[in-house]
Amino acid sequence: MPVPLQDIAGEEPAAAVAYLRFVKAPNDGGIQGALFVTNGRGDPLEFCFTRVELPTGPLWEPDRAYRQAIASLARALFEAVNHQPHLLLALAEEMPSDVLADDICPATPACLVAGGAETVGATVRWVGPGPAENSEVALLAESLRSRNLLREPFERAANGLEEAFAH
Amino acid sequence: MFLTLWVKRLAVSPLRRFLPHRQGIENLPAAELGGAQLQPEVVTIQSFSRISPGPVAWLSVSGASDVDPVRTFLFDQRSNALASTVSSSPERPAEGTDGARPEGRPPAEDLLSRLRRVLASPYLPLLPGPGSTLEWPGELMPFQLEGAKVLVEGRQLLLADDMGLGKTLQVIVALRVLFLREEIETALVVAPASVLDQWRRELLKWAPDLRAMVIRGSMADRGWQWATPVHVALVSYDTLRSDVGDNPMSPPARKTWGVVVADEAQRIKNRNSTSDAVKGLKRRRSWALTGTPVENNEEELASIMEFVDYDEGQGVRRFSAGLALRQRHRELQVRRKKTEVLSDLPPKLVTKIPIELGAVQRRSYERAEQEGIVHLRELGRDVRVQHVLELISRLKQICNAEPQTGESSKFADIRDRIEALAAQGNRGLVFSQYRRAGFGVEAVAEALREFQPLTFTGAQSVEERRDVISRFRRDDHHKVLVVSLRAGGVGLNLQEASYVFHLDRWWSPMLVAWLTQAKPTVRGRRLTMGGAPCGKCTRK
Repeated sequence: MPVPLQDIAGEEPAAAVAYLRFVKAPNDGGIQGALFVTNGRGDPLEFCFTRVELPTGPLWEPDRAYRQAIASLARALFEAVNHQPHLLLALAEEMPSDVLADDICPATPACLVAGGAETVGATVRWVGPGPAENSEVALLAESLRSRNLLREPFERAANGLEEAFAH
Repeated sequence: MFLTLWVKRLAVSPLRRFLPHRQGIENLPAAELGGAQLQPEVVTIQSFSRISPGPVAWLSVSGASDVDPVRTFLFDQRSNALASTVSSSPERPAEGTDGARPEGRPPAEDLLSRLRRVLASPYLPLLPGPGSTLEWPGELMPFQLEGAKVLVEGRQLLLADDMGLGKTLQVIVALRVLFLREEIETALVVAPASVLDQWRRELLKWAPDLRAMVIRGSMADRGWQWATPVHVALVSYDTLRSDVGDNPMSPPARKTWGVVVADEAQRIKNRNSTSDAVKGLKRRRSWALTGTPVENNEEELASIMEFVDYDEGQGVRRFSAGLALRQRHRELQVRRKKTEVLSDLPPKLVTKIPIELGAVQRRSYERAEQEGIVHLRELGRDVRVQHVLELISRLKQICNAEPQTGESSKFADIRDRIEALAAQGNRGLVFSQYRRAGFGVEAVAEALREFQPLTFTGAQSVEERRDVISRFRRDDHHKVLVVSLRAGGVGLNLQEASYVFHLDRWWSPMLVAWLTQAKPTVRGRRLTMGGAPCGKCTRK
């Protein structure tokens, strides 16, 4: 039975950050999705995951099927998550911005992370007008950047999916 | 508006029961994020309107939303553990909720532990430094950071850095990271009694989120202390030997520790009941800390390596002097000498070492304090500053050594430190403002006589003092030079010594600052020994 950690005034990051990650299932036509919620310093708070079959049929263009699938995954994950994230992050290469803005349209501030595999050089593109300068959310995003937490948790989420669906 | 109404009407139409998915449109979840709700009708309309109108497309849209049940794993930050799992599917019960497990899926507990491992914060961003995700009270020097990494990654390690390079700090940083990553749940630090409080202070400073407790006191006290859930238990070698004894069911012996740290591991260089007690502890990681892994012969190293090279499944591995020992020693030891990391070191490190008075010393101190206060009161209006200073001076002298018995916690501590320094080939200077026997330079020299000390005081002639310095420089058998502060505070330039101990402090902070800035010139550390008169007296 682990011993609870001590309370440290001012050190417990209250913010919850949700990382939305999608991975194509390696052996079938499905897509796996995860919503990985961490606190402001990257400690895991919650991990939700599921999968969906890509819709198939003559009327489904691959791109539209993918968009529909990840929108469905996102909705299911949002329904299941217990935490109330202060900021939602998704990878620009996985999430078309219009899907996030129009199909999912979260009220929570959301942004797409683009750029290289490393946090250095990663850029953040806000969905919608973006938060005001020096607002809590803007500061949170800046804090994530300074702590190298813009991209790294996506890797953990992918690793979590790999473990979750390992047979 | 028209489209919305149309879809709602469609949703409740009989067509719905032909849809292959589980939820009708009117039952689509109102997905929440940040307190705002997504309106399922609107979402569906948008998707619907983009794909293509018509009932065929509608069926396809329904098929796309056939999402598997969502499984959720919650992490409880307060208990630092993966707390629970839930599933959102009303149709497919969560794993473990009904005892059934979907075919081909790994057991839930396996998944819990695997997810905990892969989702934990990576440890490198946790370490002190720019961009660290943890708050730290300071930064580590590069070689200390390397040491902390090796400790985090290594289950067996002999950290044999030179004294003063921060072995304790490296261990505490590694412990904090391991606890936060949930890789360990308990740690036991076995150390000489004189440094246990120093360990606790450093833990409080560098790992304030960990709970630490010193195990000491009566047997009854130790009983509940061992049973108290803490992250880090701190115990002296003697207490551990006493509590473990031959009883494998004693509290420290029956549990499996995440880490056991043997500080000043030369204490287990001999195969005796003390080293047996330490080596017999069940543990997943074994870290030994010492600046002098080999003091006299290889057998001592063999004994220490028997603690370090421990495998939980195989128990204690026996070593004897020889090639196998030396090879394994090379594999498991990390040792940095001061000369190797000199560029990383600041020019001077100052450490204050609070030291508890022994029982006799404390009684003598308290008696002198009470008598002194009574005397001051009796003086009434005639009391002068010098009366107060006389009392404080008397108390300072008792803090150095008890006048009747000679008991001195400071002398005992300094003797241990000089012993460790000398074993590494280092030498030290010890300063005291007092010269007299009993509590000053002469008393220290007597207490350290095994190190062939030389003394340097104002009672000596200039020629005598010059001769003392010459002998100290020439002959490294003299491990210590004991100096009166007034005589040696100015004009000494001794590169031969790396450590300076201030046994007591001068009256004037300005003078101390001046002496500290000026001479003697040494490269290394200054250590101020504790046990000064309490604030109550100095305030009076």
